[in-house]
Amino acid sequence: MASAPNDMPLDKGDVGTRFVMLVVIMMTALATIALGGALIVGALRSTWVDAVTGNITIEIPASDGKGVVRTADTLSQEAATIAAALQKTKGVTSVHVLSRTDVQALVKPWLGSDAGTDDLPLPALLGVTIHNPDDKAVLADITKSVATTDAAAIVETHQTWVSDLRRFSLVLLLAAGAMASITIACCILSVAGAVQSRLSAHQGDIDLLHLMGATDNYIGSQFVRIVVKAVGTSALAGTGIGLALLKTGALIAGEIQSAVLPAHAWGFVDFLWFAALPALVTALCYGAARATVLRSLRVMP
Amino acid sequence: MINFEHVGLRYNVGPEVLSDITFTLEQGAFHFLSGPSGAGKTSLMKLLFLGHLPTRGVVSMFGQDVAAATRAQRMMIRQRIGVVFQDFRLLPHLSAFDNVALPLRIMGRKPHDIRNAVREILDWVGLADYMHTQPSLLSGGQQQRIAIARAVIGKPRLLLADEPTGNLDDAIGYRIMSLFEQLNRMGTTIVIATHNQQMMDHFNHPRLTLDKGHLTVLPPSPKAQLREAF
Repeated sequence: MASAPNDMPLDKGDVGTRFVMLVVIMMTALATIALGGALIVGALRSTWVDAVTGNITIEIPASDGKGVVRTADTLSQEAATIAAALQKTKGVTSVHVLSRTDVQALVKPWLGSDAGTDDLPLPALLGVTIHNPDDKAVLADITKSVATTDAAAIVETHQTWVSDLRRFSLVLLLAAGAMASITIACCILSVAGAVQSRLSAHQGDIDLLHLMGATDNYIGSQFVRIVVKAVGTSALAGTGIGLALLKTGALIAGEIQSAVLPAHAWGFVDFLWFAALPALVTALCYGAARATVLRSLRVMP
Repeated sequence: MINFEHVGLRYNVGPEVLSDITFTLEQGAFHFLSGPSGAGKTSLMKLLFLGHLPTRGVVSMFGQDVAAATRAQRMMIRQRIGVVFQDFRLLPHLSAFDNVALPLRIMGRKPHDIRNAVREILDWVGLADYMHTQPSLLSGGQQQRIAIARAVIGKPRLLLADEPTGNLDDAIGYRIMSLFEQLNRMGTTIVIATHNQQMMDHFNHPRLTLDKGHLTVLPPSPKAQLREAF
Protein backbone atom coordinates (compact mmCIF):
# COMPACT_ATOMS: atom_id res chain seq x y z
CA MET A 1 0.00 0.00 0.00
CA ALA A 2 1.22 3.49 -0.82
CA SER A 3 2.19 5.56 2.21
CA ALA A 4 0.22 8.66 3.17
CA PRO A 5 1.25 11.73 1.18
CA ASN A 6 2.82 14.77 2.77
CA ASP A 7 0.15 17.19 3.93
CA MET A 8 2.17 19.99 2.34
CA PRO A 9 3.70 19.89 -1.15
CA LEU A 10 7.27 19.56 0.08
CA ASP A 11 8.52 17.47 -2.83
CA LYS A 12 12.21 17.71 -3.46
CA GLY A 13 11.70 18.88 -7.03
CA ASP A 14 11.43 22.56 -6.14
CA VAL A 15 14.23 25.08 -6.67
CA GLY A 16 15.00 25.56 -2.95
CA THR A 17 15.48 21.85 -2.32
CA ARG A 18 17.56 21.44 -5.49
CA PHE A 19 19.78 24.30 -4.32
CA VAL A 20 20.28 22.69 -0.91
CA MET A 21 21.03 19.34 -2.54
CA LEU A 22 23.64 20.97 -4.76
CA VAL A 23 25.27 22.74 -1.80
CA VAL A 24 25.30 19.51 0.23
CA ILE A 25 26.83 17.55 -2.68
CA MET A 26 29.62 20.10 -3.16
CA MET A 27 30.28 20.60 0.54
CA THR A 28 30.31 16.88 1.30
CA ALA A 29 32.71 16.33 -1.59
CA LEU A 30 35.02 18.98 -0.09
CA ALA A 31 34.63 17.48 3.38
CA THR A 32 35.50 14.06 1.93
CA ILE A 33 38.66 15.46 0.37
CA ALA A 34 39.54 17.18 3.66
CA LEU A 35 38.93 13.94 5.54
CA GLY A 36 41.00 11.99 3.02
CA GLY A 37 43.79 14.56 3.36
CA ALA A 38 43.66 14.26 7.14
CA LEU A 39 43.82 10.47 6.97
CA ILE A 40 46.78 10.59 4.56
CA VAL A 41 48.65 13.13 6.71
CA GLY A 42 47.96 11.04 9.80
CA ALA A 43 49.26 7.90 8.09
CA LEU A 44 52.32 9.67 6.67
CA ARG A 45 53.15 11.15 10.05
CA SER A 46 53.07 7.68 11.59
CA THR A 47 55.24 6.32 8.78
CA TRP A 48 57.77 9.14 9.09
CA VAL A 49 57.89 9.18 12.88
CA ASP A 50 58.07 5.36 13.11
CA ALA A 51 60.93 5.40 10.62
CA VAL A 52 63.11 7.64 12.78
CA THR A 53 61.92 6.96 16.30
CA GLY A 54 64.37 4.67 18.12
CA ASN A 55 66.98 5.21 15.42
CA ILE A 56 70.08 7.25 16.04
CA THR A 57 72.51 8.28 13.36
CA ILE A 58 76.16 8.81 14.26
CA GLU A 59 78.13 10.87 11.85
CA ILE A 60 81.92 10.80 11.88
CA PRO A 61 82.91 13.86 9.85
CA ALA A 62 85.60 13.49 7.23
CA SER A 63 87.40 16.34 8.94
CA ASP A 64 88.76 15.49 12.39
CA GLY A 65 87.80 18.87 13.85
CA LYS A 66 91.26 20.32 13.50
CA GLY A 67 90.94 20.81 9.75
CA VAL A 68 92.63 17.52 8.82
CA VAL A 69 90.67 15.44 6.30
CA ARG A 70 90.76 11.79 7.23
CA THR A 71 91.04 8.99 4.72
CA ALA A 72 88.25 6.56 4.04
CA ASP A 73 90.20 3.81 5.83
CA THR A 74 90.70 5.96 8.94
CA LEU A 75 87.02 6.80 9.01
CA SER A 76 86.17 3.15 8.56
CA GLN A 77 88.37 2.16 11.52
CA GLU A 78 86.85 4.92 13.68
CA ALA A 79 83.37 3.69 12.75
CA ALA A 80 84.28 0.10 13.61
CA THR A 81 85.68 1.18 17.00
CA ILE A 82 82.54 3.17 17.82
CA ALA A 83 80.34 0.30 16.64
CA ALA A 84 82.16 -2.14 18.87
CA ALA A 85 81.81 0.17 21.86
CA LEU A 86 78.10 0.78 21.23
CA GLN A 87 77.32 -2.90 20.83
CA LYS A 88 78.37 -3.31 24.46
CA THR A 89 76.21 -0.39 25.59
CA LYS A 90 73.08 -1.34 27.53
CA GLY A 91 69.83 -0.53 25.71
CA VAL A 92 71.34 -0.63 22.22
CA THR A 93 69.55 -3.15 20.00
CA SER A 94 71.71 -3.00 16.91
CA VAL A 95 74.52 -1.04 15.32
CA HIS A 96 74.97 -0.87 11.58
CA VAL A 97 77.96 0.74 9.88
CA LEU A 98 77.10 2.14 6.48
CA SER A 99 79.64 1.28 3.83
CA ARG A 100 81.23 4.05 1.80
CA THR A 101 79.12 2.85 -1.14
CA ASP A 102 75.96 3.34 0.96
CA VAL A 103 77.05 6.86 1.88
CA GLN A 104 77.83 7.65 -1.75
CA ALA A 105 74.33 6.40 -2.68
CA LEU A 106 72.85 8.76 -0.10
CA VAL A 107 74.47 11.85 -1.63
CA LYS A 108 73.88 10.76 -5.21
CA PRO A 109 70.37 12.38 -5.46
CA TRP A 110 71.97 15.76 -4.64
CA LEU A 111 75.20 15.45 -6.63
CA GLY A 112 73.96 13.40 -9.57
CA SER A 113 75.20 10.03 -10.77
CA ASP A 114 77.88 11.55 -12.95
CA ALA A 115 79.65 13.32 -10.10
CA GLY A 116 82.79 11.52 -9.04
CA THR A 117 82.21 10.85 -5.37
CA ASP A 118 85.18 8.49 -4.92
CA ASP A 119 87.50 11.33 -4.05
CA LEU A 120 85.02 13.35 -2.02
CA PRO A 121 85.62 13.67 1.73
CA LEU A 122 82.43 11.87 2.80
CA PRO A 123 81.65 11.20 6.47
CA ALA A 124 81.26 7.73 7.94
CA LEU A 125 77.77 6.94 9.15
CA LEU A 126 76.46 4.47 11.72
CA GLY A 127 72.82 3.54 12.23
CA VAL A 128 72.04 2.67 15.85
CA THR A 129 68.74 1.22 17.02
CA ILE A 130 67.85 1.54 20.69
CA HIS A 131 65.24 -0.42 22.60
CA ASN A 132 63.52 2.51 24.31
CA PRO A 133 63.70 5.85 22.48
CA ASP A 134 62.55 7.67 25.62
CA ASP A 135 65.34 6.29 27.80
CA LYS A 136 67.57 9.33 28.31
CA ALA A 137 70.22 7.32 30.17
CA VAL A 138 70.89 5.16 27.11
CA LEU A 139 71.19 8.27 24.98
CA ALA A 140 73.65 9.77 27.46
CA ASP A 141 75.70 6.52 27.46
CA ILE A 142 75.81 6.51 23.66
CA THR A 143 76.85 10.16 23.49
CA LYS A 144 79.58 9.56 26.08
CA SER A 145 80.82 6.44 24.39
CA VAL A 146 80.98 8.14 20.97
CA ALA A 147 82.73 11.23 22.35
CA THR A 148 85.32 9.07 24.04
CA THR A 149 86.25 7.45 20.75
CA ASP A 150 85.92 10.46 18.43
CA ALA A 151 85.35 13.96 19.78
CA ALA A 152 84.30 15.22 16.36
CA ALA A 153 81.55 12.61 15.91
CA ILE A 154 77.93 13.84 15.99
CA VAL A 155 75.06 11.93 17.61
CA GLU A 156 71.83 12.73 15.77
CA THR A 157 68.62 11.57 17.53
CA HIS A 158 66.29 13.16 14.90
CA GLN A 159 64.26 14.71 17.72
CA THR A 160 64.14 18.13 16.07
CA TRP A 161 62.92 16.55 12.84
CA VAL A 162 60.33 14.44 14.68
CA SER A 163 59.15 17.45 16.67
CA ASP A 164 58.89 19.65 13.55
CA LEU A 165 57.14 16.85 11.71
CA ARG A 166 54.62 16.41 14.51
CA ARG A 167 53.94 20.14 14.63
CA PHE A 168 53.60 20.39 10.86
CA SER A 169 51.30 17.41 10.57
CA LEU A 170 49.21 18.75 13.45
CA VAL A 171 48.78 22.02 11.55
CA LEU A 172 47.73 20.07 8.46
CA LEU A 173 45.28 17.98 10.50
CA LEU A 174 43.80 21.08 12.09
CA ALA A 175 43.47 22.73 8.68
CA ALA A 176 41.72 19.63 7.30
CA GLY A 177 39.47 19.50 10.36
CA ALA A 178 38.62 23.20 9.99
CA MET A 179 37.85 22.72 6.31
CA ALA A 180 35.60 19.74 7.01
CA SER A 181 33.88 21.64 9.84
CA ILE A 182 33.29 24.72 7.70
CA THR A 183 31.86 22.69 4.83
CA ILE A 184 29.56 20.79 7.19
CA ALA A 185 28.53 24.09 8.79
CA CYS A 186 27.66 25.37 5.29
CA CYS A 187 25.41 22.34 4.79
CA ILE A 188 23.70 22.94 8.12
CA LEU A 189 23.15 26.65 7.44
CA SER A 190 21.81 25.95 3.94
CA VAL A 191 19.38 23.40 5.31
CA ALA A 192 18.24 25.71 8.12
CA GLY A 193 17.73 28.57 5.64
CA ALA A 194 15.85 26.37 3.18
CA VAL A 195 13.61 25.01 5.93
CA GLN A 196 12.89 28.54 7.13
CA SER A 197 11.87 29.63 3.64
CA ARG A 198 9.68 26.52 3.16
CA LEU A 199 7.98 27.30 6.47
CA SER A 200 7.19 30.80 5.21
CA ALA A 201 5.98 29.46 1.86
CA HIS A 202 3.61 27.00 3.55
CA GLN A 203 2.47 29.27 6.37
CA GLY A 204 -1.19 28.93 5.32
CA ASP A 205 -1.08 25.14 5.22
CA ILE A 206 0.71 25.04 8.58
CA ASP A 207 -1.95 27.28 10.14
CA LEU A 208 -4.63 24.95 8.82
CA LEU A 209 -2.90 21.88 10.24
CA HIS A 210 -2.48 23.63 13.58
CA LEU A 211 -6.18 24.49 13.60
CA MET A 212 -6.96 20.82 13.05
CA GLY A 213 -4.93 20.01 16.13
CA ALA A 214 -1.71 18.87 14.46
CA THR A 215 1.16 18.99 16.92
CA ASP A 216 4.42 20.73 16.11
CA ASN A 217 6.07 17.31 15.95
CA TYR A 218 3.52 16.09 13.38
CA ILE A 219 4.10 19.11 11.13
CA GLY A 220 7.84 19.26 11.81
CA SER A 221 8.34 15.60 10.93
CA GLN A 222 7.03 16.26 7.41
CA PHE A 223 9.70 18.91 6.79
CA VAL A 224 12.39 16.85 8.47
CA ARG A 225 11.49 13.74 6.45
CA ILE A 226 12.06 15.64 3.21
CA VAL A 227 15.34 17.10 4.51
CA VAL A 228 16.70 13.72 5.58
CA LYS A 229 15.83 12.21 2.19
CA ALA A 230 17.34 15.09 0.21
CA VAL A 231 20.44 15.57 2.38
CA GLY A 232 21.05 11.83 2.78
CA THR A 233 21.15 11.17 -0.97
CA SER A 234 23.14 14.36 -1.62
CA ALA A 235 25.69 13.57 1.10
CA LEU A 236 26.18 10.08 -0.34
CA ALA A 237 26.64 11.53 -3.83
CA GLY A 238 29.04 14.17 -2.48
CA THR A 239 31.11 11.54 -0.67
CA GLY A 240 31.23 9.48 -3.86
CA ILE A 241 32.47 12.48 -5.84
CA GLY A 242 35.01 13.29 -3.11
CA LEU A 243 36.33 9.71 -3.16
CA ALA A 244 36.60 9.81 -6.95
CA LEU A 245 38.62 13.04 -6.70
CA LEU A 246 40.84 11.49 -4.02
CA LYS A 247 41.41 8.47 -6.26
CA THR A 248 42.36 10.78 -9.13
CA GLY A 249 44.73 12.61 -6.78
CA ALA A 250 46.21 9.31 -5.65
CA LEU A 251 46.83 8.27 -9.26
CA ILE A 252 48.67 11.53 -9.93
CA ALA A 253 50.60 11.27 -6.63
CA GLY A 254 51.50 7.68 -7.51
CA GLU A 255 53.68 9.02 -10.30
CA ILE A 256 55.71 11.15 -7.87
CA GLN A 257 56.07 8.44 -5.25
CA SER A 258 59.29 8.47 -3.26
CA ALA A 259 60.65 7.33 0.08
CA VAL A 260 59.55 10.66 1.55
CA LEU A 261 56.06 10.47 0.04
CA PRO A 262 55.11 6.81 0.05
CA ALA A 263 51.89 5.61 -1.58
CA HIS A 264 49.01 5.49 0.86
CA ALA A 265 46.89 2.37 0.88
CA TRP A 266 43.35 2.98 2.17
CA GLY A 267 42.41 0.58 4.93
CA PHE A 268 39.12 -0.63 6.39
CA VAL A 269 39.18 2.02 9.13
CA ASP A 270 39.64 4.75 6.51
CA PHE A 271 36.52 3.56 4.71
CA LEU A 272 34.64 3.54 7.99
CA TRP A 273 35.50 7.23 8.31
CA PHE A 274 34.27 7.88 4.78
CA ALA A 275 31.06 5.94 5.47
CA ALA A 276 30.52 7.93 8.65
CA LEU A 277 30.81 11.28 6.87
CA PRO A 278 27.45 11.27 4.97
CA ALA A 279 25.79 9.81 8.05
CA LEU A 280 27.24 12.63 10.17
CA VAL A 281 26.20 15.31 7.65
CA THR A 282 22.68 13.87 7.44
CA ALA A 283 22.39 13.59 11.22
CA LEU A 284 23.57 17.18 11.77
CA CYS A 285 21.27 18.52 9.04
CA TYR A 286 18.41 16.52 10.52
CA GLY A 287 19.10 18.15 13.89
CA ALA A 288 19.34 21.61 12.31
CA ALA A 289 16.12 21.15 10.33
CA ARG A 290 14.24 19.81 13.32
CA ALA A 291 15.43 22.60 15.60
CA THR A 292 14.57 25.26 12.99
CA VAL A 293 11.11 23.84 12.33
CA LEU A 294 10.18 23.37 15.97
CA ARG A 295 11.51 26.78 16.99
CA SER A 296 9.46 28.44 14.23
CA LEU A 297 6.31 26.39 14.85
CA ARG A 298 6.40 27.10 18.58
CA VAL A 299 5.84 30.81 17.99
CA MET A 300 2.85 30.18 15.70
CA PRO A 301 -0.65 30.26 17.21
CA MET B 1 -19.07 22.76 27.56
CA ILE B 2 -18.05 26.12 26.07
CA ASN B 3 -18.13 29.17 28.21
CA PHE B 4 -17.24 32.76 27.36
CA GLU B 5 -17.07 35.20 30.27
CA HIS B 6 -16.64 38.90 29.57
CA VAL B 7 -14.39 38.11 26.64
CA GLY B 8 -12.76 40.90 24.68
CA LEU B 9 -10.53 40.70 21.62
CA ARG B 10 -8.39 43.31 19.96
CA TYR B 11 -5.77 42.94 17.24
CA ASN B 12 -2.47 44.46 18.34
CA VAL B 13 -3.18 47.98 19.60
CA GLY B 14 -6.40 48.46 17.60
CA PRO B 15 -9.85 48.88 19.07
CA GLU B 16 -11.73 45.92 20.57
CA VAL B 17 -13.46 43.98 17.83
CA LEU B 18 -15.32 41.91 20.40
CA SER B 19 -16.42 43.41 23.69
CA ASP B 20 -17.66 41.78 26.83
CA ILE B 21 -18.90 38.61 25.15
CA THR B 22 -20.59 36.25 27.57
CA PHE B 23 -22.42 33.07 26.59
CA THR B 24 -22.49 29.35 27.21
CA LEU B 25 -22.89 26.52 24.72
CA GLU B 26 -24.07 23.30 26.30
CA GLN B 27 -23.20 19.96 24.75
CA GLY B 28 -25.63 19.24 21.92
CA ALA B 29 -26.54 22.91 21.38
CA PHE B 30 -27.14 24.23 17.87
CA HIS B 31 -26.75 27.96 17.27
CA PHE B 32 -26.69 30.25 14.31
CA LEU B 33 -24.20 33.11 14.48
CA SER B 34 -25.36 36.12 12.54
CA GLY B 35 -24.76 39.80 12.21
CA PRO B 36 -23.83 42.39 9.64
CA SER B 37 -20.44 42.40 7.92
CA GLY B 38 -17.70 43.66 10.25
CA ALA B 39 -19.73 42.80 13.35
CA GLY B 40 -17.06 40.38 14.55
CA LYS B 41 -18.42 36.99 13.40
CA THR B 42 -15.09 35.85 12.00
CA SER B 43 -13.28 37.02 15.14
CA LEU B 44 -15.70 35.11 17.36
CA MET B 45 -15.27 32.03 15.19
CA LYS B 46 -11.49 32.39 15.53
CA LEU B 47 -11.84 32.48 19.30
CA LEU B 48 -14.02 29.38 19.10
CA PHE B 49 -11.50 27.38 17.07
CA LEU B 50 -8.56 28.81 19.04
CA GLY B 51 -7.20 30.74 16.09
CA HIS B 52 -6.78 33.55 18.60
CA LEU B 53 -6.70 33.82 22.36
CA PRO B 54 -8.86 36.46 24.08
CA THR B 55 -7.18 39.68 25.12
CA ARG B 56 -9.42 39.78 28.17
CA GLY B 57 -11.98 37.59 29.88
CA VAL B 58 -12.07 33.82 30.12
CA VAL B 59 -12.76 31.29 27.38
CA SER B 60 -13.28 27.83 28.71
CA MET B 61 -13.69 24.87 26.37
CA PHE B 62 -14.38 21.29 27.38
CA GLY B 63 -13.67 22.27 30.98
CA GLN B 64 -10.33 23.91 30.26
CA ASP B 65 -9.36 27.58 30.37
CA VAL B 66 -7.79 27.96 26.92
CA ALA B 67 -5.49 30.81 27.97
CA ALA B 68 -4.03 28.69 30.77
CA ALA B 69 -3.79 25.51 28.67
CA THR B 70 -0.41 24.35 27.45
CA ARG B 71 0.31 24.24 23.73
CA ALA B 72 -0.19 20.45 23.71
CA GLN B 73 -3.50 20.80 25.56
CA ARG B 74 -4.67 23.42 23.06
CA MET B 75 -3.86 21.02 20.22
CA MET B 76 -5.95 18.34 21.93
CA ILE B 77 -8.83 20.82 22.26
CA ARG B 78 -8.53 21.68 18.56
CA GLN B 79 -8.76 17.99 17.65
CA ARG B 80 -12.24 18.03 19.17
CA ILE B 81 -13.34 20.92 16.96
CA GLY B 82 -14.33 20.63 13.32
CA VAL B 83 -14.25 23.77 11.22
CA VAL B 84 -15.80 24.46 7.83
CA PHE B 85 -14.11 27.58 6.50
CA GLN B 86 -15.90 29.97 4.22
CA ASP B 87 -13.09 29.62 1.67
CA PHE B 88 -12.90 25.83 2.35
CA ARG B 89 -9.11 25.85 2.80
CA LEU B 90 -8.66 22.52 1.07
CA LEU B 91 -5.06 21.53 0.36
CA PRO B 92 -4.84 21.75 -3.45
CA HIS B 93 -2.17 19.09 -3.99
CA LEU B 94 -4.12 16.46 -2.08
CA SER B 95 -7.01 14.41 -3.48
CA ALA B 96 -10.49 14.70 -1.99
CA PHE B 97 -9.75 11.47 -0.11
CA ASP B 98 -6.53 12.79 1.44
CA ASN B 99 -8.09 16.15 2.32
CA VAL B 100 -10.89 14.42 4.18
CA ALA B 101 -8.47 11.95 5.79
CA LEU B 102 -6.31 14.74 7.22
CA PRO B 103 -7.95 15.08 10.67
CA LEU B 104 -7.78 11.32 11.20
CA ARG B 105 -4.12 11.20 10.20
CA ILE B 106 -3.42 14.02 12.64
CA MET B 107 -5.20 12.00 15.33
CA GLY B 108 -2.93 9.06 14.50
CA ARG B 109 -5.65 6.67 13.33
CA LYS B 110 -4.69 3.47 11.52
CA PRO B 111 -4.68 3.58 7.67
CA HIS B 112 -7.32 0.87 7.45
CA ASP B 113 -9.70 2.77 9.75
CA ILE B 114 -9.02 6.00 7.85
CA ARG B 115 -9.85 4.35 4.52
CA ASN B 116 -13.17 3.04 5.72
CA ALA B 117 -14.17 6.25 7.50
CA VAL B 118 -13.29 8.47 4.52
CA ARG B 119 -15.20 6.26 2.06
CA GLU B 120 -18.23 6.32 4.32
CA ILE B 121 -18.23 10.09 4.80
CA LEU B 122 -17.62 10.86 1.11
CA ASP B 123 -20.57 8.64 0.36
CA TRP B 124 -22.57 10.59 2.98
CA VAL B 125 -21.86 13.91 1.26
CA GLY B 126 -22.50 12.35 -2.16
CA LEU B 127 -18.91 12.54 -3.45
CA ALA B 128 -17.80 8.90 -3.33
CA ASP B 129 -17.09 9.02 -7.06
CA TYR B 130 -14.70 11.96 -6.65
CA MET B 131 -12.45 10.34 -4.05
CA HIS B 132 -9.26 10.64 -6.08
CA THR B 133 -10.03 13.99 -7.67
CA GLN B 134 -8.06 17.07 -6.69
CA PRO B 135 -10.05 20.04 -5.35
CA SER B 136 -9.20 22.27 -8.31
CA LEU B 137 -11.18 19.93 -10.54
CA LEU B 138 -14.29 20.09 -8.34
CA SER B 139 -17.04 22.70 -8.41
CA GLY B 140 -17.46 25.19 -5.56
CA GLY B 141 -20.33 23.19 -4.13
CA GLN B 142 -18.35 19.94 -4.30
CA GLN B 143 -15.38 21.59 -2.62
CA GLN B 144 -17.67 22.83 0.12
CA ARG B 145 -18.96 19.31 0.71
CA ILE B 146 -15.38 18.04 0.88
CA ALA B 147 -14.67 20.75 3.47
CA ILE B 148 -17.74 19.67 5.43
CA ALA B 149 -16.72 16.01 5.24
CA ARG B 150 -13.26 16.95 6.52
CA ALA B 151 -14.76 18.93 9.38
CA VAL B 152 -17.04 16.15 10.59
CA ILE B 153 -14.95 13.02 9.95
CA GLY B 154 -13.21 13.19 13.31
CA LYS B 155 -16.61 13.22 15.06
CA PRO B 156 -15.90 16.59 16.65
CA ARG B 157 -17.61 17.65 19.85
CA LEU B 158 -17.92 21.16 18.42
CA LEU B 159 -18.55 21.92 14.77
CA LEU B 160 -18.04 25.47 13.51
CA ALA B 161 -19.14 26.37 10.02
CA ASP B 162 -18.68 29.73 8.33
CA GLU B 163 -21.33 30.19 5.63
CA PRO B 164 -21.37 26.43 4.92
CA THR B 165 -24.18 26.67 2.38
CA GLY B 166 -22.99 29.84 0.68
CA ASN B 167 -21.85 28.09 -2.50
CA LEU B 168 -24.56 25.49 -2.62
CA ASP B 169 -27.89 25.56 -4.41
CA ASP B 170 -30.91 25.48 -2.12
CA ALA B 171 -31.54 21.74 -2.41
CA ILE B 172 -27.96 20.77 -1.48
CA GLY B 173 -27.81 23.56 1.11
CA TYR B 174 -30.85 22.19 2.91
CA ARG B 175 -29.46 18.67 2.61
CA ILE B 176 -26.19 19.79 4.21
CA MET B 177 -28.14 21.54 6.98
CA SER B 178 -30.01 18.31 7.55
CA LEU B 179 -26.68 16.50 7.82
CA PHE B 180 -25.62 19.03 10.47
CA GLU B 181 -28.84 18.38 12.33
CA GLN B 182 -28.16 14.65 12.21
CA LEU B 183 -24.72 15.28 13.70
CA ASN B 184 -26.26 17.54 16.31
CA ARG B 185 -28.70 14.83 17.31
CA MET B 186 -25.70 12.58 17.89
CA GLY B 187 -24.41 15.10 20.45
CA THR B 188 -22.19 17.45 18.44
CA THR B 189 -22.47 21.10 19.40
CA ILE B 190 -22.87 23.20 16.28
CA VAL B 191 -22.34 26.88 15.56
CA ILE B 192 -23.08 28.08 12.05
CA ALA B 193 -22.17 31.57 10.96
CA THR B 194 -24.54 32.67 8.25
CA HIS B 195 -26.20 35.61 6.56
CA ASN B 196 -28.92 33.38 5.19
CA GLN B 197 -32.06 34.60 6.93
CA GLN B 198 -34.20 32.08 5.05
CA MET B 199 -32.07 29.26 6.39
CA MET B 200 -32.28 30.60 9.95
CA ASP B 201 -36.02 30.96 9.60
CA HIS B 202 -36.34 27.43 8.30
CA PHE B 203 -34.36 25.71 11.05
CA ASN B 204 -35.45 26.06 14.62
CA HIS B 205 -32.30 27.08 16.48
CA PRO B 206 -31.32 29.95 18.77
CA ARG B 207 -29.17 32.71 17.34
CA LEU B 208 -26.05 34.46 18.53
CA THR B 209 -26.28 37.90 17.01
CA LEU B 210 -23.28 40.17 16.84
CA ASP B 211 -23.42 43.88 16.27
CA LYS B 212 -20.38 46.12 16.55
CA GLY B 213 -18.58 43.53 18.65
CA HIS B 214 -21.42 43.02 21.12
CA LEU B 215 -23.31 39.74 21.36
CA THR B 216 -26.97 39.10 21.94
CA VAL B 217 -28.38 35.61 22.38
CA LEU B 218 -31.76 35.33 20.71
CA PRO B 219 -34.28 32.50 20.87
CA PRO B 220 -35.19 30.56 17.72
CA SER B 221 -36.71 32.59 14.92
CA PRO B 222 -40.39 33.31 15.58
CA LYS B 223 -41.24 32.09 12.06
CA ALA B 224 -39.51 28.79 12.75
CA GLN B 225 -41.31 28.46 16.08
CA LEU B 226 -44.55 29.14 14.34
CA ARG B 227 -43.75 26.47 11.73
CA GLU B 228 -42.78 24.00 14.48
CA ALA B 229 -46.12 24.63 16.22
CA PHE B 230 -48.06 23.54 13.15
